[in-house]
Amino acid sequence: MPPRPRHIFCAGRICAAAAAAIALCACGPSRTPADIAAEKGILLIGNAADPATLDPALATGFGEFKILSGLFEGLVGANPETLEPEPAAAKSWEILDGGKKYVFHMDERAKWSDGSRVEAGDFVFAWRRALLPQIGCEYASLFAPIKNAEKIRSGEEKDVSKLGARAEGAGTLVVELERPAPHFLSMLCHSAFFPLHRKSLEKFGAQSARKSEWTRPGNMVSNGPFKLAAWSINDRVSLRRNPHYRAPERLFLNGADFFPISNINTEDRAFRTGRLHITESVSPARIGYTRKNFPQCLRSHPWLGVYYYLANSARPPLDNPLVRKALAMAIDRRAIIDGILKGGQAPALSFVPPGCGGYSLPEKSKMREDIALARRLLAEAGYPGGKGLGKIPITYNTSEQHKPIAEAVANMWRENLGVDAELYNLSWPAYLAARRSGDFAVARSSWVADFAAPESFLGVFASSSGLNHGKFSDPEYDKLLEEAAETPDKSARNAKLAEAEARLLGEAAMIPIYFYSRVYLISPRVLGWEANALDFHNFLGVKFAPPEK
Amino acid sequence: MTRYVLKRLCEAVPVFFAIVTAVFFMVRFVPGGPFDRERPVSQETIEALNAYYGLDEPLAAQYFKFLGNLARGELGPSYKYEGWKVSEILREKAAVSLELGSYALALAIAAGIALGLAAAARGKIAAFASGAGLLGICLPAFVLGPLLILAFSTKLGAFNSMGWDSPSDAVLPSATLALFYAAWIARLTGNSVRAQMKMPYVRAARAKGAGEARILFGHVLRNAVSPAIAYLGPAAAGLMTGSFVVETIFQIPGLGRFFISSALDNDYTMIMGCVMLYAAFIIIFNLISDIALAVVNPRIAREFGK
Repeated sequence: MPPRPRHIFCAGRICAAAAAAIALCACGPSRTPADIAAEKGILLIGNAADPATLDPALATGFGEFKILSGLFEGLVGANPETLEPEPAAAKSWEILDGGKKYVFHMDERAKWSDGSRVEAGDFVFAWRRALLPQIGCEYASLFAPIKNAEKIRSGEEKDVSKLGARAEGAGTLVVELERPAPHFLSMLCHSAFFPLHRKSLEKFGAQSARKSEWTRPGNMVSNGPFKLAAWSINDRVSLRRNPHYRAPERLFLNGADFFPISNINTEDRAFRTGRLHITESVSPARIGYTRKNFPQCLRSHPWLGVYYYLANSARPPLDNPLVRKALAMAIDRRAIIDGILKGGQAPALSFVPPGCGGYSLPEKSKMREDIALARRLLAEAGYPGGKGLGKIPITYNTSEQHKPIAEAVANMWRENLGVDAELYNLSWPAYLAARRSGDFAVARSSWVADFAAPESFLGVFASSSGLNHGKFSDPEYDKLLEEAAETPDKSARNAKLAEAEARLLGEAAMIPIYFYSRVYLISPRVLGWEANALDFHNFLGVKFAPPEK
Repeated sequence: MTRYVLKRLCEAVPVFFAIVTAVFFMVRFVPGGPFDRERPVSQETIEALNAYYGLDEPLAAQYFKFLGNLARGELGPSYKYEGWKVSEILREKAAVSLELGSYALALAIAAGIALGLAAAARGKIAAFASGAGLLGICLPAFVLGPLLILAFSTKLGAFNSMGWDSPSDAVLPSATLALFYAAWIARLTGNSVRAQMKMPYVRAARAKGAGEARILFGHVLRNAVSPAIAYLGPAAAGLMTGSFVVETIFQIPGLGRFFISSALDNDYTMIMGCVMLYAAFIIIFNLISDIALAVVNPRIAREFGK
């Protein structure tokens, strides 16, 4: 018998070596990074998008707002439980001249992270900067209620000092409005209204310099509960306690780390393996499992946002309101929520989410789901059984959720109305370009409130709005919005806004699909992270429960 | 050999410029612009941004300006990340991808050649090695990565599921990244070893009384690794510049994700930076691969160096 060839590689040895290597490399932490961070008072947060900027005037994304809410503080804050305005950098305020003048008294304790005092002039500096055309603040339209803000923004008024906001000494800020704006205090929580530390900003560029390094760690001076400790693109943003924060008795955390985890499955795994305390979202496929096995970690609550299909009112055949209404009525919204989203969203039969700033729309004014009526309307429009209508293109930007929703809607239109739809998936810039140029018939859209008031939603469809890409135009609708803006009484104002929304829905300027909910995972150890309709968190009152023994 | 290397380098320069030029013009014809936002911004803002990035100049002028900046080593500011230069982002992120890629490359070469040699043997080990190689080719990273996390992170708690903080964080992503390449190297090496083992010089060596190990490592392997070396040129470039999938699964702050995100964001300068880096890596690693081939087989240098 020939000698058995001696194998150079022995399977047993390889396995043993691999096991040894794993044992050597794996430190086998008994405590997870989330446990260690909790002991240090550091909150680990999943933040879907990588922040493109930490300049409050330039931030546009929800992920950026979350970070900025820890770094800066406006004149007025929002109570995380009730969203009611509460003192922040201003300790008190007076509303004069029938709501046309606001006088804010600065809190002497409010300090920048370098120890210097937050002064009224810091707000004036920041607000004037946000209105400069060179800065290009996307939220500059929020300043519209302030005297001369629109003129400065449009370039009609070149002198920014004409803005109706002036500092009277370090401790008083006087703001004059064009007309009473009942939601003005709520708006002041928005990051566009945050103050800026003039000295540190000008060290790295002029007031009008959009691209500047003042937002880097070590350069940035902020006035919020935290200061910027580290920012590595595509890795994390680390905030640490601002030692000069005005209300240390309400701040229990020592910091917060934000991780830009774009993939929801990666984020889910990170949470389950103790790398995060709070996630940005949960995969719809995991919601059922989590609800069953870890209900204490799943949080779901309404969020002031609406997902809708924008109809191009300027292009046939959707220039015919009957066609738009028929399409809107033939969608089974509950099926989309239960079959695709699974996150506690609510079917949207109006544009303004329920409970937005105490506003409600009468049931009779809402849209209906009625297939028989939808067919009749389509026939009335001259397209019985969808004949002659041609294919309706649905344009959406790349996303894991937009595609199945578009497929479901297309299927419903085909089955219920005999209308064929074509799906167009575009990258985000191409989608925006298509929307802006009106090169669409139906475009997936969404709107999330900038502040908790119906005006934040209904203003989108004003004829003059730069966001009205569907070119909906109704002089009566515009007039009602104008009248509402002039009405100081809240209930009377809301009645006018409800009338306006009824017209908007009657004309089916858009096809609302669902109202957003925020669905995310949160460690049971995190206390004081309140669920609110704006998902606003200023980190005050948030703390860790002691570990279970 | 020097002449051969110089010749390959001279060939690489026009290739690099052809790639850079093609991409420079292509990105400018992609629908949507870098400043497209959901909310309207004033015309003055758009004009100010265009002037800042030099987009208000004719395309040809922009191109020559870009080449001028490139000669000075400047890639310009990122369109997406306000106040950040592309070069500083690339430097920081490429270091991470390079480190991860080096581990994965070393692992792929070691495991690939070992599996290839084992596959060329006979019996159960060969079957195991062939099976492992096939599995590596068939199992995509987006399946393997989560499986490794499930086993070693969720169940055993041995490794972190994401991040790039401690040395052990490199283990799972390196293994995920390496498996596919290791499998290909194993197949190429295995096939080549089997073919070489039938060559007359192997019989001659055995007749002279040389041991199997000496035949394998002293003679056969040297001739059998050529296909794997040729494959490793572009493979190494791919490994070193980061993987979108692996970096996303393990949340690694490397370069891989910028290859996708910069294109989706129309971040012109970042797209150019990524493309140039990748092109440079492809050229360099192909050159290294060619040199290695010439070292293993001097006839190549003699034939092509003329």
